[in-house]
Amino acid sequence: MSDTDTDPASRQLLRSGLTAASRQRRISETSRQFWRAAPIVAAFSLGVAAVSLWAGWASILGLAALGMGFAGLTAYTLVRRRDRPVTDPVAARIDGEAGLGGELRSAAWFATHDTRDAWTDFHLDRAADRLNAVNWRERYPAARAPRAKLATSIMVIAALALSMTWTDRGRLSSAELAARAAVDAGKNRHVVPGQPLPPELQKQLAELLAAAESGIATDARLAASAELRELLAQLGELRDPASLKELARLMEANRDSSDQALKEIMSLAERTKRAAEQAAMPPEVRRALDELSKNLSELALAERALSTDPSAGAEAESGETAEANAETEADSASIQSATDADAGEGAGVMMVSDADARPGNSPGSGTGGGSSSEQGGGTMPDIERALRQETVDASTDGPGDNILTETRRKTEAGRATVTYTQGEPGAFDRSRAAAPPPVPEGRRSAVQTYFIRKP
Amino acid sequence: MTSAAVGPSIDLFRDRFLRITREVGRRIVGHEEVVNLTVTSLLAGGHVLLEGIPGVGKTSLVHTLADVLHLTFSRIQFTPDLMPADIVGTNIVQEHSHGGTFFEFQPGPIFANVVLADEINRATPKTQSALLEAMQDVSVSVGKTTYQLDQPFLVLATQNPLEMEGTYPLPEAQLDRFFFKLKVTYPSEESMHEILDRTTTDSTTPVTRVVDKPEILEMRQVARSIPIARPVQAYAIRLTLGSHPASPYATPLVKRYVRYGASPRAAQALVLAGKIQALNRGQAFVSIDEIRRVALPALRHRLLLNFEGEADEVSTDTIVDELLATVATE
Repeated sequence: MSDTDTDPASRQLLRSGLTAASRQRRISETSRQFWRAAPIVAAFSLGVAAVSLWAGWASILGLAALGMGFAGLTAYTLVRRRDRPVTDPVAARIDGEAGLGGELRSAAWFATHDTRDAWTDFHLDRAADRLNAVNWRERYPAARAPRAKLATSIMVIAALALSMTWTDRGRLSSAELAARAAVDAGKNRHVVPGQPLPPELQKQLAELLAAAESGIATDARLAASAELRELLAQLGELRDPASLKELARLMEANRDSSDQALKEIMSLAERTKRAAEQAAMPPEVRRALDELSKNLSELALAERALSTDPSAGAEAESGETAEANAETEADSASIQSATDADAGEGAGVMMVSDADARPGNSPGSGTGGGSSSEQGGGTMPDIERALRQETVDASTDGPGDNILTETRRKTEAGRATVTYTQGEPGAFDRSRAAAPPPVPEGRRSAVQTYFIRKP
Repeated sequence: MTSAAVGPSIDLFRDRFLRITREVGRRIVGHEEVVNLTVTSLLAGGHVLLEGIPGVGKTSLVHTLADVLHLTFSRIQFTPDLMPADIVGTNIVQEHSHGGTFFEFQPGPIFANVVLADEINRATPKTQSALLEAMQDVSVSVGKTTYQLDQPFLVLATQNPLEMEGTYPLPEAQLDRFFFKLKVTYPSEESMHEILDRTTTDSTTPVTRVVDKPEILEMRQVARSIPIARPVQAYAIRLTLGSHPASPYATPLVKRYVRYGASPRAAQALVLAGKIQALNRGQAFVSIDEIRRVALPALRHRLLLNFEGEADEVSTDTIVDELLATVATE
């Protein structure tokens, strides 16, 4: 026996052959597993796409399920197909499946261990020859699975079609496409912030306001128009200053008004307010008109503040909706406080405070100390300064700058006073400060109307 | 030896093996597997315990084998009054021609290449032990002298399973020294025709000596050269360990009916017999199949049943079959 006679090439050949056989076996096995799982993944994706379409979920869910499922399957396939050391159980299985009678298993062990003698080398040589004589592609063919492939293809196409259809629908329902379609067809029924009011709806709204102003009984057909109701509902929700301005400009321009933007807003607010007071109107139309009127009034106030106070104006001109809303709420609270004051006997106590007790900022609500300021509300002089304008307006009962052109406060000069509780500013008890109770939505317009003097 | 010489060596081994079995088969009908395993045991250096009813050809098999192998043959008929000296031999007093006496060792029937110990369970344990000592050490001690037995040395003991009265069953420790326990079954109907045709006419079937002593020793050496992969050897070990009730590989039957399992000699027998079987198939390696093929004759007599097993008359073959079906090959 001589080690020099041994042929290491046979070991290498055997190892590489065994690795190739193992790889081919895994490929075959993995392809079978892939086509066993692929229809399931496709069916699941189709189900997700169908459910998404039915439930109105995001269309991406179906595509995501499809993509993730097949990405996972592909990853699994790639991981399974990568080369790895051939273990004894794998060699035994390959040996058994190829009908090599245990020779491959035995040789696989000797090929990976340093056992070299004439018998072992002879064994390895013969095993390598037999191993290479086997056509492993025929022994381990890739799975054909025609039915699985067909079913998977159909379901994938269906899932994609459902997802794409839903994507298109989603795009149609989006504001962007709606606005574009409305511009194209001139039949847009939706009010889109920053977009012009559709001419048809603009005409209907103008007719409605005109009918209300002329005192003619509201056209039942017009009031019953679903499109108009929808428009009014959307206009009532409109908070965007730019959109409100544009609405006012359009509506008043139709009436050949050449006033400035503020006047246009105030005019439209007044018209909508009057229209909302028409008892013949359907309740929901009145509510919507009332909301629109309120929003326009708030915008007018903001515009007015802009023109009188440059610092506040900069804030208002920023056009940020959130700030405008906060300002609006502050104004509403102011009115609410006035209501409560009026509800008292005789001398109503108008408690309007500034959040930071500065005249330049928006007023807060509450009894002086109810400010949101972290400093615990304003001091008495600050509150006095903040309310100076209101006090003067209320005392003179004249048409102040903060009063709409055609409106007057119902507050009478003799009865309107502002009283302050005497006390040390530092000893102010914050726990006793509370915001007035909110006015019910249904009574809100009535409360506002009560304080607005009609011409 | 070079790897180029391995192939011819395997072919020569296989050719001789086939010649032996074919020649024995000319006289012994219907016991190919017994003949095959008996030759395997001979080439492995082991001994065989043949079990079968009278008249099925046990003695004929051994006799024929000795003729075919060109080996010396002796037969010992075991009886209760048989003494160890009757087997191993004794010193007898001889007279010189010029006067005076001296002791001379007179070899017993054990001094042969092939020894037939017929109905070994009829002798007393003392006599049985004398034979079994010779089987294990391949030597006998008489007085202060040890005599080496000639190789190859093969003992074929027969045992009658029916007549148990007045017999001395072999202890398990002694049974373990037999390489294989072969069951000589009743011949089939077709084989019976062949037996009658050969034995009831005036024609005799002569056998020729196809293999001589040196060739057998060479075959033994070749048989031990064949490599065995560790996983295959591990399977043989698992089979052996599985015959022990406390082993993790133990099967339910083993746990229930076996008192002691097979000894390491069983694993040796499995591997060695597997190698010879592999060579007989022209292989240069041992596979699981070869181990499984020799598992039953190598294990069946090495399992000691407990009381419950004896009471239920459980066959050790059943237990070994369950082991083969249960123990993992990987």
